[in-house]
Amino acid sequence: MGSYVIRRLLGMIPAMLLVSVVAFLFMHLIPGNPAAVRLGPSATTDQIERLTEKMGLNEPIHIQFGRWFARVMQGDLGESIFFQQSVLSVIGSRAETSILLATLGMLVVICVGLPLGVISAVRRNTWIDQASLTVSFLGAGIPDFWLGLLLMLVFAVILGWFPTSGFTSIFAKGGIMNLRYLILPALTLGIPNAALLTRLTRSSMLEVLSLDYVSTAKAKGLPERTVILKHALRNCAIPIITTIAFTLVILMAQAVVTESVFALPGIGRLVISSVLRRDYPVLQGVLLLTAFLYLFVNLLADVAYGLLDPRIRY
Amino acid sequence: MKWFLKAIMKRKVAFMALSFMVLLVICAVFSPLLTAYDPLRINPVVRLLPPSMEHILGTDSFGRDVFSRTIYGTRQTLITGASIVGFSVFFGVLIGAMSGYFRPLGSVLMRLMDILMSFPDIMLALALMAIFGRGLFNVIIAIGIVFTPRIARLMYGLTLEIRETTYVESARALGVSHWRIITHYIIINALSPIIVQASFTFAFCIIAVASLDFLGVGVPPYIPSWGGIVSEGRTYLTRAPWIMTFPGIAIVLTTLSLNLVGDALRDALDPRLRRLL
Repeated sequence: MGSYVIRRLLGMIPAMLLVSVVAFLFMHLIPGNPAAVRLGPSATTDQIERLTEKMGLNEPIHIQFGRWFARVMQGDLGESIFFQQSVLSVIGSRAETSILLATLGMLVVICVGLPLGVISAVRRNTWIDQASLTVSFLGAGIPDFWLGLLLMLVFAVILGWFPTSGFTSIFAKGGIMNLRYLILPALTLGIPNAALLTRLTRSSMLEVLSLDYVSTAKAKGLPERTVILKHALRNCAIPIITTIAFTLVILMAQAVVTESVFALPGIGRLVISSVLRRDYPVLQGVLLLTAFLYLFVNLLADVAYGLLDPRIRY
Repeated sequence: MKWFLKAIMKRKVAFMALSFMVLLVICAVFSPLLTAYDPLRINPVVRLLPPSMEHILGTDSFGRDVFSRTIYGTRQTLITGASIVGFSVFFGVLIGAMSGYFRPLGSVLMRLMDILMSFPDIMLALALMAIFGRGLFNVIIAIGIVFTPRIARLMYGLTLEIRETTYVESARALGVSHWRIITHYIIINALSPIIVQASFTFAFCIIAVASLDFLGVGVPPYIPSWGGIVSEGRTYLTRAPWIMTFPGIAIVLTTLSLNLVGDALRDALDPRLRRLL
């Protein structure tokens, strides 16, 4: 197992390299000279030339990439044009909101999607099953920004249970109670993904429930709870774990929309304002980090398979 | 076509979905005839009016008629969505079929598709919009690039399967050119799963386009688009909730209809596809 993890970690390097090439080329696809973009429209030719020299932009492209990649591997993602500080610290200052939001969203996905999927599979073709299927079908068709606005309208504006927008750090005044700012956003983020997990859990459970060993377990008089949770659910752990793992990446990405709806100071909103400000280094940094996260989650899911299923040996 | 209609008629929900799609197309084609007001005309005297006989869906903060804007938004949505689906199906099928047929080239191209897919959809779309700038054409290219790898993936798998069949083998033995084998043997036989996937992609596209418009990085805000109208309505959520309500319902109904029609198509074309799509 240990050697497998090490092998997989080493195997991630070419993938990370390729993803980095794409992110690097992204900066070079921008029309115009990056030095001119950074200095803005009022820069003189002389200034642009000096910065071009300083940024190493007159060197061959593979050397530029090598230098840039070496810096990235040391955690230096460059400097934001708008904030005049390092991209990593710009992203870091917004990480709290995004991480908390993703965690709460994940909680919604797991706490709603998983039980609903199990119940609809066990009580197949009853009203519970029909209702959860309908809801999950709706969940796949509803745009998240609109769902967010509806939740905001009902629970924040009309009922007044939650604040409409904004977020203050849980380390600031108010402490943990500040999480109430994130409840509606977490629901917005979680519900559509919970719908997907429900459908997946239902179909994998249905497949397992029809197998012989489940009938055996029932026949030997085990309580239904044990049969469902221990015998059936455990055996569809792999597709479920995979979906949950990739949901994490999806949640981080979809936060772009949710954070905009609820005006949350997170990485997602940073992305939007960077698009509008044409702050390319920040965009490149976020793009690279999400792709790395995707690769890492891929690895974690593979390792989890080995831990969950003793038949899988690497 | 006849068998398809037959299959649709058998299912009440799918029939309703298809009828809704037809209604949307009618709205898109005849937008000027269906609306009493110009969707762009600004009239501050009637700003933020609730739904009434004159303005059945109310007016927005510029006094523009929300009904007119929603109807014209249909046109915008369908044209954008169809163009994106066309773009990604064309390039996806081409890349997928070529990669599956010419193996060494294929592994390189498919690797590239995998890399594109390791960037989350919305992030990639936003990054591309940052490079291209706002505008309808740029939205089509950006979201088209996001969805192309998926179609390519599907087509690649199908090609690998079809190229091993005896009819392809016999065509090769008869000396049919590679190009003709790809177009007349492989692509033709992969059409049904591709069509089904295209209808699901259409639904995804509509949400993706609306999201970009909502975030303010899609088409310019004066052009009536569903996402754009919802974005406008967000500012006046408390004073004028009707602005964001109707375009939102339009998006939901459209994506649901497309998914339902896609489901029906899949079952009608080949029930075995259920495992694949």
